[in-house]
Amino acid sequence: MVDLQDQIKKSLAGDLESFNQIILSFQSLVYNQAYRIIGEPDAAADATQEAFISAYKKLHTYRGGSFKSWLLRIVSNACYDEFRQRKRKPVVPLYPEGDDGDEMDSASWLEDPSDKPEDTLVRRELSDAIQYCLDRLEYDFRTIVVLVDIQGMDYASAAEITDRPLGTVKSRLARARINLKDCLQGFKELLPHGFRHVGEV
Amino acid sequence: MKISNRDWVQLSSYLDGELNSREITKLEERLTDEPVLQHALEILQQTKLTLRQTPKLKVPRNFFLTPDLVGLKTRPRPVRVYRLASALMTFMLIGVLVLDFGRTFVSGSMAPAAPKEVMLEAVADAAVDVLDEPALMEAEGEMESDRAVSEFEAGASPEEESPAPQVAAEAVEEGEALGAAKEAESKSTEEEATDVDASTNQAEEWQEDEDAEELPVPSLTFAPETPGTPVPEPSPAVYYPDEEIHRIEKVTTFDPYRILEIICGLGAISFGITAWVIKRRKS
Repeated sequence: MVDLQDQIKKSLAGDLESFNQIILSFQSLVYNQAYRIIGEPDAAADATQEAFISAYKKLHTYRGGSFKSWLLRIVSNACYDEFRQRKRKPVVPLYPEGDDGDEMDSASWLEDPSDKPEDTLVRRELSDAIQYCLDRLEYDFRTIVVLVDIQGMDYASAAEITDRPLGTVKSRLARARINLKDCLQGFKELLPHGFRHVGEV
Repeated sequence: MKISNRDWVQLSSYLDGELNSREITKLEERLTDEPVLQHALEILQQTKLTLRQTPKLKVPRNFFLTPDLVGLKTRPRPVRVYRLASALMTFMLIGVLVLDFGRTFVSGSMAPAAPKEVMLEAVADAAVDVLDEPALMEAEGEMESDRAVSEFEAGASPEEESPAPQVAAEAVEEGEALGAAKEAESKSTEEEATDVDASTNQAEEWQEDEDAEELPVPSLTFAPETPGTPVPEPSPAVYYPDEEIHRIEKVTTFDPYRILEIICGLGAISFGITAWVIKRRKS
């Protein structure tokens, strides 16, 4: 296997074929990250392509360390640009503010009577169920939970990628998990066995 | 019992191993004492496991980059450029050669055509040089036959100018001093012998003259040698080289066809070599 650092060096020298080898190694990771954040296949593909283009152009800014983290940061930015560009339908925040301006603790508002989970369970796989719940998270929450729980990054890497303090990453991840838990309760049949027997807290 | 946000964050961080040892100890004490907190931890753990089991999607396509995609303009390969330049130069060389040959065939001469005025002027100058230079004319008379003719025309007899008669006369005087009696008897004999010696000496002198005077000396008068007087060296005849006699002034004219041929030839060779070197370096 060709060394990644060697491929990076060749790419920096203008060898596009070497960078395409890097793309071949990371495109699955990048596309899944983009899809879980954006939630639309076409938009995710566009964001993935833009991320790789941006990565190639900004390759000289890579100063060593985890190339995966460096690449996921670019993907997150590309997803954010794509997210804004497409002007998706407004996302309902998981933590809507109350009348007093404070975040509401309960996530019971997430349940949409017109969008019963039972109607979609038949045609959705587990992946879709998770994506469904992810889409209902705020962008920053979603990005962090995808980075940590789906991509398996640690907090420090997530903080570096999202350019957020470590404490913010911790709190946002916790909130995102709570709300995902509430959302996933509607897909009990698709969830792992242990999840079904977990009662509500 | 309601779980606070801080407790959720503590539980989430505990699951991910992001708490320090003191926080872990403290939280574990609470977990044993508070079943609600323990239950919340289980829920978060299952959520995390569910998210970890998120199936990975297949990429819809490859996201390979192309030069157009990253804004790189595809520059033509230098090898191709040099090859093309070499081919163009070769074609130009062929064209110029064809034109040049066509021109020479039309003019009827393969030699490079000098201007007609220059050639005429050169011929006239050569003729004037030949007429003005007497040495050239004398050189013409140095042939054996020419010299004989010129001597005959000069009308000088060898006996008159040769010192041989003086030697013969001295011999006769000495003979008279020795005896008048014998003189009368052998007079006729000695005179005959003297004539023979004189003729012999004359022949030798002539031969010496020929040897000494390879180069023409217009005057054939022979001055008697006096001791101590330097004998002037006979001036050698000045021969003009043939190319100088028939010299045609070479005029340095630049034929545009020749210049074009040189430029095209050198260009074709140099571009071809450059392409070859670049290709060799790349390979």
